[in-house]
Amino acid sequence: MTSSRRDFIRRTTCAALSAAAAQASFRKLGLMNLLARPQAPSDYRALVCVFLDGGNDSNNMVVPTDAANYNQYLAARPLASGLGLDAATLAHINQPPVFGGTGRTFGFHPSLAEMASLFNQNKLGVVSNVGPLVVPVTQADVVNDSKPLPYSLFSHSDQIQCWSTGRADQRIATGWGGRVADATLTCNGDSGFPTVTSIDGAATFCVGISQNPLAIDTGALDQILVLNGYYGSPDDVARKSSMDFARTIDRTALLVAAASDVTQQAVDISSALSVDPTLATVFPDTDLGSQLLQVAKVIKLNQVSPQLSLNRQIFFVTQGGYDTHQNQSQDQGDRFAELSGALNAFYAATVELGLANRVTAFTLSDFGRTLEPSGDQGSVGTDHGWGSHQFVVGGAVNGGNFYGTPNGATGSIFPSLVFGGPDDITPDDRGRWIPTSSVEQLGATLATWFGVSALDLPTVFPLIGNFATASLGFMGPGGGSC
Amino acid sequence: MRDGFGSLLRGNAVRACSLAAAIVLFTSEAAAAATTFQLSYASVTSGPAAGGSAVVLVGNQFQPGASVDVGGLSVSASAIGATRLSVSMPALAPGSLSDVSVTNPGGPTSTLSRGWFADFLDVSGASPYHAPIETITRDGITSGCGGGNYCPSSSITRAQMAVFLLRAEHGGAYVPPPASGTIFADVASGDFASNWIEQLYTEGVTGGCATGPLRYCPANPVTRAQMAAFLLKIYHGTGYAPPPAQGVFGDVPASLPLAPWIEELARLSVTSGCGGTSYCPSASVTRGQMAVFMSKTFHRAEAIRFLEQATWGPTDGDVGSVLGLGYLGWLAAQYGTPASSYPAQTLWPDDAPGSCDDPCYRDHYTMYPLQTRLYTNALYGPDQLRQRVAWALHKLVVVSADTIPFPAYLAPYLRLLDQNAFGNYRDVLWNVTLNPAMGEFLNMDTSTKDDPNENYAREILQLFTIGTEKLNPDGTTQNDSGGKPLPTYDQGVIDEFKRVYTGWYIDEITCPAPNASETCYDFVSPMSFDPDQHDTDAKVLFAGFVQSPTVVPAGQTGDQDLNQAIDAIFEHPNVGPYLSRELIKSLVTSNPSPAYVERVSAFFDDGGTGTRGSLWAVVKAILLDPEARQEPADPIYGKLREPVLYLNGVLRAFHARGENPANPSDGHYNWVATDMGQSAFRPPTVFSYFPQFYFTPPASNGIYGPEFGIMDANTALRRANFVNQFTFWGGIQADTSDDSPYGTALDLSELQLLAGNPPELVDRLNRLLLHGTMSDDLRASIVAAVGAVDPGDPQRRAQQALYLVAVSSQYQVQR
Repeated sequence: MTSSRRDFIRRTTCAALSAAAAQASFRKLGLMNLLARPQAPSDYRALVCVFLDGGNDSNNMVVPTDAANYNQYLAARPLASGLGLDAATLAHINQPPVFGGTGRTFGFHPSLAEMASLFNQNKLGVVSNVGPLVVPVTQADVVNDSKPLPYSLFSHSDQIQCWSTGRADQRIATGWGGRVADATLTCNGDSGFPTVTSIDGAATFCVGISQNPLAIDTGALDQILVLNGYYGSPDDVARKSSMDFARTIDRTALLVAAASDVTQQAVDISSALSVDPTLATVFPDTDLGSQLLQVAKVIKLNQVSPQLSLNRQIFFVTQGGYDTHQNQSQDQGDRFAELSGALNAFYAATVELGLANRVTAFTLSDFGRTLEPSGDQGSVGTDHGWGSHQFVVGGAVNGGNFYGTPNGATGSIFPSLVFGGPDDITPDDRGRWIPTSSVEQLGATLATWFGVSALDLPTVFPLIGNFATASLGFMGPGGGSC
Repeated sequence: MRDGFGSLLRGNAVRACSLAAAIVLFTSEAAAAATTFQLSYASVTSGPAAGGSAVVLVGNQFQPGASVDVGGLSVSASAIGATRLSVSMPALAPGSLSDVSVTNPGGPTSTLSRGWFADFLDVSGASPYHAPIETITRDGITSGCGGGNYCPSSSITRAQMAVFLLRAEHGGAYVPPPASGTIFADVASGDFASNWIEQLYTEGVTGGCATGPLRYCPANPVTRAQMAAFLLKIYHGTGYAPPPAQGVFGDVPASLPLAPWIEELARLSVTSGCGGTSYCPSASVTRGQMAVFMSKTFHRAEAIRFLEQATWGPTDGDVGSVLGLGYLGWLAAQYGTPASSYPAQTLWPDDAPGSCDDPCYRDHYTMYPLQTRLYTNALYGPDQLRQRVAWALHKLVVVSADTIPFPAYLAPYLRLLDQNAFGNYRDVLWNVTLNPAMGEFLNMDTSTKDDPNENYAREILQLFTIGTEKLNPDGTTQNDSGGKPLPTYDQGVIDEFKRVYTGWYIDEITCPAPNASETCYDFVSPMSFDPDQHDTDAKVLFAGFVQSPTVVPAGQTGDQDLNQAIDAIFEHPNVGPYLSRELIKSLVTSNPSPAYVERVSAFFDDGGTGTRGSLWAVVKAILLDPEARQEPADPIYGKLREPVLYLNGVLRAFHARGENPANPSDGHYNWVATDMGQSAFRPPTVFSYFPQFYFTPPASNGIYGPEFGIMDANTALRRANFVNQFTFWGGIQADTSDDSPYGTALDLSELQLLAGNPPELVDRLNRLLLHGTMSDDLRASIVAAVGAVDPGDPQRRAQQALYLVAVSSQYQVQR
C-alpha cells in the first residue's frame, strides 16, 4: 500500500502562523512603499529544505566500498535479496578526508551520479547517522531505557514532526525553519514578503511565530496566484474595491479577520509575483525538478524585484515515495534519479545566478530504514528505522567529506552495518541505527551559517545544549548579524 | 516507553505503513478555568398545561440537592450528574410562560427567563400549529383567545391582524399611540384595536380596504392575499416593492395587484400555497395559519443560523420546515428521514479487465460514483443532518481513497457511517474496526500473531476515541503536579492492544457478475477471522493508565477479544469530551467553551436513559445548546467553512441544478473542492483533511481553526475563483465527454428580480447567507458595487452582489 503524503504536505498549509506585526508588514507591501527601497539584497543567504517523504533508506544511498565493509553490507543485503547493490555499479566518490588513513571508502547509489560528481567537486557533504535525539544516547542507554528518547519512534507522522520541529522530547507548534526565520527577521528589513516559501503546500518545518509563511505552487510565477474574473471594466473595478474593503472591516470576529489576512497575503504576494524570471539552467521535467525550478525563480526574482529584496530566504520542497516497504530497488532508484537530477540542476542554477556560495540545500527524511530486507524477493523492501544519512549541497558547504559524531564504541561516524552491532537497536537486531548526531545539531550548523547568532541558537534549538557541539562542521563561516 | 524497545520491535511491529502527516500538534494550553454554575437550557420548552412533562434541565455545576422552581412552584428534581436535572413539570395556566430556576444548596440561583410554555388547551403538541403558536406567544404577539385557548381555527380579523403585525414589528410590549378616530370612517377611537389600526396606517402598511370615505373594514377576515402584503411590508420595511409577478400560482394571475407579494412570500417558503398550484388568495386566514405565517416570516435568521450548523447549507425551503416544526420537531423529522447514502457498488477485481472501457473504469475504479453521490445527496437529499454528522464522523474516523481507491471498497464504510450517524458510537467503533476498508487502510488485515501491526491499535486510540492526553469532562487537559499533561497510554499499552487485533483478514471471493471468473477481495462483508493467526495469549489493556485495566484472558476467540478491547476503549472517560469536542468543532465552532463541551459530553456518558454513547443525544445536545443557538458575542466564535461545506453552502442557497434548468446537477464538481484543498473522501492521511489542532493566524492569538490548515495563499484565491466560476461563468457546463452529463449551475433568477433595487438585493443575500449579520459598512460597500453595474443588466447585478457576499470572509466563516 502506498501512502501519498505529498498531497498532504501540499495541502497542509504553512500559512497559519503570523503575528500582528506580520499582518502589519503585509499591509506595507503596496508598490509605493516598496519602490522606496530599490536596492538589491546584500549578504544574501538561502536555505532549501528537500524533504524526502516516507523515510529514505540511506543504507542504499551511501554504501561502503572498501572490501571489509562492503562485505558486511553484502552479508546483510545479499545481491540475491534483490536489495543489495553491486559495488561495481555504485557512483564513485573520493575518499572522504575524515576517513583518511583508515582505508574506508564509499560510493553513492548508482542513480545518484550527479550527487557523486558534486561531492567530488567539494560541493556536497554527507551528514552521517543523524536523527531525532533528546540527549546523546549509547546503545546501552537505549536497551536499558535509561535516557529520554524521542516520542513515537518509527511512526511517520511523529518522526516527521521530530525532524520538522527539531524537538524530540515534546510536540510543539513551530518548525525549526520557521524559528530560524524568526531569529533572522531583522535581516529582511521591512519587506512584506515572508522569509519562508514552501513550493509544496506547507509543513510544520515552515511554521514560525513572527510571520505567516507563504505556500505557492509550481508553474509560471506570474500565473500561480491569480484572482480570476477581473478585466478592468468599471464593474470589475467597483467589485475589486468592495472585495478589498471587506477584508479590512469586521475584524472583531477573529476567525473572519484571519480569513481576511490569508486572502490579503495571497493578493499581496500575487502582485509581487508579477513576472516569471527565466533561467538558462535546464531543470528536469519532474515533480521535484519543477519545485526546485520554482525556488530558483523566486531566488532570481528576489534579486531583481524591489517587492522582495530579502536578505534571507528559506524554502521547503518535498519529494514523495520513499516509504519503500516493497519494491524498493525500482522505486528508490527512480526517486534517487529524480533527486539527483533536480538537485544538480538547482546547484547549477545557483551558479548561474552567482549565488552558489549563498544558497545551501539539504535533505531531511522521516527516518532511515532497516538494514535487513523485508518481504519476499519479488517485492523486497525495508521497514522503518531511526538514524539516517543526509546530503548538504552548495558552494558554502565544506563538501567532499562526511560529517557526524563518532560512536564511542567504534570511534566511527558511520554505523557498523551489522545486525546487533554497536549501532543497532538490540535485541531487535534488524539494523535500525541509533543516531550519533541530532537533528538539532544538523539544523544549528545550517542556522549558524544562515546568520543565527550563538546567543539566539538556544532559542531556536532549545535542546542544543544537550549535545557536545552546536556545529557538525560541514558549513563555512556564519553569516553576519543584521 | 515502559520496557525499552524489545517489545516495540518484536515481530516487525513497525512494518506498518502508518500513514504520515505533518500534523501540527501543540503543547497543551494552560488548563481552562473550571466551568461555573449555570442553567443553560431546557431539553423541551413546552408541554401540556396540566403538567407532567418530563424535562431535562441542562447546565453546569449542579450540586446534589439542587432545587428547581417553575413559575413560582417548587418542583422535585433528580440529578443526572453535574450537568442535568430531570424534572416533571407542574400544572400551569394554559398559554402561560414561566421562569425556570435552579438553585444549588445554599448557593446561587440561575434562571431561564420564560423557560417553560404551558400549551394552550386547544393546541396540543401534536398540532401542526403548535411550534409556531409557541413562537408567537413567546414573542408576545398573542396570549390566546381567552379561556386558556388559542382558537387556531377561527378566522383572524383585520383588526386583530393590526395588533399581531405591530407586536411582531415592535415587540410584545409595544403600546401604540392613542387613536384619533379621524382616519378611517369605520374605526372610531375607543373601538377594539383602533390605536393599532391607525398606527398601521401611519406606518404605511395599510391604505385601508376602501375609499370614499376611507375605510379599514376591521371586522372583515384577513384574506391570504392581503396577509402576504401585510407581512412583507413589516418584514422588509414599507418602502419595499416586490419584484414583478411571474405567475407562479394558477389562481394568482400576474396581473392581480397583490400577486408580487404573494409570489415573494412563496419564494421565501413562508407559504407553499393551499394545495396543488393554488394559493387561494381570497380565502380567509385562520389564527393557526397566521401563527405559521408570522413565525416563518419573522424568525428566519435564527432558523438559517441553525441550518448552517445542521445541514450542508440553508435553503428557504428548510427555513420553512424548521420554523414550522420547531427545532425539536425538525430534529425528530431528521431522525426519521432515511439515509440518502450510497448505493451498494459491485465488487470488481483489483486489476481492471481489458474490456473495461473509460466509463467502466470511472464507475468501478475511481471515486466518481461516490463523490458525485456525495454532492447530489448534499444538494437534494432530505437527510441533511444525518449527512452532516456522517461527514463529521468521516473526518474523525478516517479511511481515505488515497489508499482505498475503488468505490466498491469504500462504499460500505460510508454506508456504515450514514447508518450509525444517529446510533451508538460503540457500533461505529465495532463496525469500523471490522470494516475491510479500514482494515486495509490501517493494516489490521495484515496483522497476525507472529507479525502484529500496531497501526490500528494506535490510531483508534489517538484519533478515533480518546486522544493522547487525559481529559476532564469539559475537554480540558488533566495535568500532573508538574503541569505536564497526563498521557492516556504509552507504547506498552499499544503493544497489548495490537495483539488483540490479530487474525482478521479480508477474504477472497469469486467476483460477482460480470467478472465471475475472477477473484475479488470482499470489501463488503466484515473482515474474516483466522483463529490460527490470532494471538490467544492474555492481554492487559490500559495497564497503569486506568484504575481497573481490562484483563483479556488467554484462549479467547477474536470476537471475544475484540469486544473486550472495544469496551475498554468505549468506556474510557475521555471518549465523551473528546468526541463531543470534535463534533462541536465540525458542526458549530472551532473553540467551544469548556462548559459547552461538558454539557454535551454528559449526554455521551448518559444519553438520558442510562445509555452511553448515543450520537443522537450528543448531536441534539450540540445543536440545542445556547452556545450554538444564541448569537455569538465571543470574538473567537465560529469556524472557517471547509471547501466542501463552502461549496455546498453556496450551491444549495441558490438551488443548484444542471446547466439546463430542467436537469439536476450531476454532482461532478469535486474537482472544485480539490482546487480549494479538499478532495472529498481523499483526506491525505489518517490525520484527515486538516490538522485537528491548528491555530488561526496569527498563532499568537492562540485560537484554534483546523480548517485554516488548508487555507493558504493558493487556496484562498481559489476560493474566490470558485465563486467567480459559479456566479459569472455559469458554473460547470454539461459535457458528456467529461463525465458531466448535466453540469452544475446556480439559479440566480430570484436575485435578478431584485436587481433594480441594490439594497434589496444585498439584503436578500445578507439574510440567506449571513442570517442578517452583515455590517452596515459591508452592506454599503456591496450596494455601491452593485450600483456600479448597468441597471439594464439585472443578471450582472445579481452576479456582482452574490460574488461579493460569497467571497467575503464574513461568509467564509460560519458564525
